[in-house]
Amino acid sequence: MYHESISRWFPIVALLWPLAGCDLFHTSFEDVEDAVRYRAAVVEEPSAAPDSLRVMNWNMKFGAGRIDFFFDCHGTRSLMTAEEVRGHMADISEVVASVDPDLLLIQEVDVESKRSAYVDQVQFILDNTPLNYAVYASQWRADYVPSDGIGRVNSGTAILSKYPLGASTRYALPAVPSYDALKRYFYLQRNVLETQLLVGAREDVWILATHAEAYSPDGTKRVHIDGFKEHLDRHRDQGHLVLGGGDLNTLPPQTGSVAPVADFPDSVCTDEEFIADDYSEESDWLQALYDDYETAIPLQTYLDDPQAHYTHTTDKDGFWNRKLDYMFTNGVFVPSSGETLQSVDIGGHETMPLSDHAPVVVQWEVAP
Amino acid sequence: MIRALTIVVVIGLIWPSSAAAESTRSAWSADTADLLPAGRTEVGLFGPARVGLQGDVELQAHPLWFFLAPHMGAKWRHHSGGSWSVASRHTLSYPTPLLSVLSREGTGGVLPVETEVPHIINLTQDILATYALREDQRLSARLGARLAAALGESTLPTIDVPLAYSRGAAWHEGFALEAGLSWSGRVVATLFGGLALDLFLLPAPEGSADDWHHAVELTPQLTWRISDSWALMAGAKFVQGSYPFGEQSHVLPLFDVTYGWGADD
Repeated sequence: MYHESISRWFPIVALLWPLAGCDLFHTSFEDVEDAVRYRAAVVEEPSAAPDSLRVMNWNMKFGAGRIDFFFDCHGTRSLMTAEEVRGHMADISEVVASVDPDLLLIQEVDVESKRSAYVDQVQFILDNTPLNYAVYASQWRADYVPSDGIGRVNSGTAILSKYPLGASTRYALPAVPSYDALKRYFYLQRNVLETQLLVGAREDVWILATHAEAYSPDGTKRVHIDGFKEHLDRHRDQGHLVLGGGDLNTLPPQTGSVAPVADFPDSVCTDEEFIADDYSEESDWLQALYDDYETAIPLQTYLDDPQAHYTHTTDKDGFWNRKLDYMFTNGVFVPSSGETLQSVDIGGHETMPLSDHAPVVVQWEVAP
Repeated sequence: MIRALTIVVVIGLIWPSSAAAESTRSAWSADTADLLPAGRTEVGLFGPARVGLQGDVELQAHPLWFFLAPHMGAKWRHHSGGSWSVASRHTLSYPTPLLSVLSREGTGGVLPVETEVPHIINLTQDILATYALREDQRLSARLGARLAAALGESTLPTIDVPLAYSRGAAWHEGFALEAGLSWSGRVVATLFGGLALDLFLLPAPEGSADDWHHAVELTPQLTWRISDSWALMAGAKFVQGSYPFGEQSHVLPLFDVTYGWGADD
């Protein structure tokens, strides 16, 4: 009953897996799950209760730097070496340590993925910055993705903090309904990650993070944005102080009046399913968030000088050309404290080589 | 799956007596030191084709995969007397064309499209010893090794999934070791059973914190021998392993249909 070749088993598994209806590749999540907790190797908590916190949000592209991966159509790479990943993570950690945030919201962070040589990037940042605690919610998990050489993947969203984190939960967002069942099974499963921030004597401070769908052939992106706002509203309505941030994959309201909303020159994908450079139908998708919450970069500040607040480009040889990354609160951001770390000249850090997104930083008031 | 297994068991129990029911071999098992009788051929839908030859030799090859991963196996019986049989099995394979096909963009791209696949010569060798508890009950043990040479430029990554990693580790590290224990035999009438425990010892990649990794596979299965020509197999494979990519456990369903012809017993 042992076997000559792997070839005997793969077709059998492939044939029976859909019939069996079981989660052979462990890609599924519950609608509501506990988040995964992390702790730095060395914990040094700040001694005094602060009046405000420095908060940073960054889509860090799984420590891939500016390696051209297949999915953004600039290259064909699927996998990185451990040396490449550790080099990129060291550079990212250096910027984080230099900014020295009290809270860091990150998207596209890998914890157990073949493409990033199985480097646990949440633990790496904790162990190489002053941050002490983290919670993690996977948005893409599979023992094996049989496409483009991706293989094993576990990638998602995390919230890292100098201060202890209390109750922490992963809330599932809807899958993309227009994808077929097989694609949905292996595809990203978006979510909202929330955690209770235990800062000072306060127990009513909550942090939310998300990463909305990038491609929106059927409007799922809007469902994700609205779902994210519903979670913010829930905390606001319960009287909590809440901050939510992430990569919402759409442009601020009124962008069309001051900047392009389609046909970005860095978008070179030709497969219509993966074209993500036309936001012309999404002009009001963030309006409710801007109406109900304060933003790290106020809308008028953005509209006055949009280029200074762009956070994304897929072209490593170009420059940031659209804003996709945000932070909102029902509290107060310190006026004029929000900035986008685009370069040495704008924000003080050369972030273009580190990710296809630039980080956003803001000072957030948390005094009782 | 449980319902399907139940149906197979029930039908096997009530299936009317036939010439097949008098068969003494254990469900056409390929994995004992027993050989197919000379002139007997068996082909599985997913399993290999086997041909019994004169001179205590059996040839094995998989018809579906032969042209993508050219290979040929032979099992020689070295001893058969009393309750004991001893055989060795040797399989030479060249998986390079298959790996090149699997290196592609999009769905089915098991390997990245830019992978440089080396020329891999793989030799798998087993020694099998089988003890006949009764005429239709077998206990078998095996020791094996996979030896491989990869020639030419290579950027071939490991395939980090249970079963595949265990069987492809030698392509990267040069060798891997295997051992197994199994029982096979008639359960009742035309229903045969099997239970195998296999251990894979896998040398760790360079830079790994460990010297060795391992995988253990437990495979219970039931085979309903419908006639001298047809058999249906259903079962499961429980896999637990400590790999370079972490500890993993899986349960996989198994199914096969076998057609045979020629002399039996």
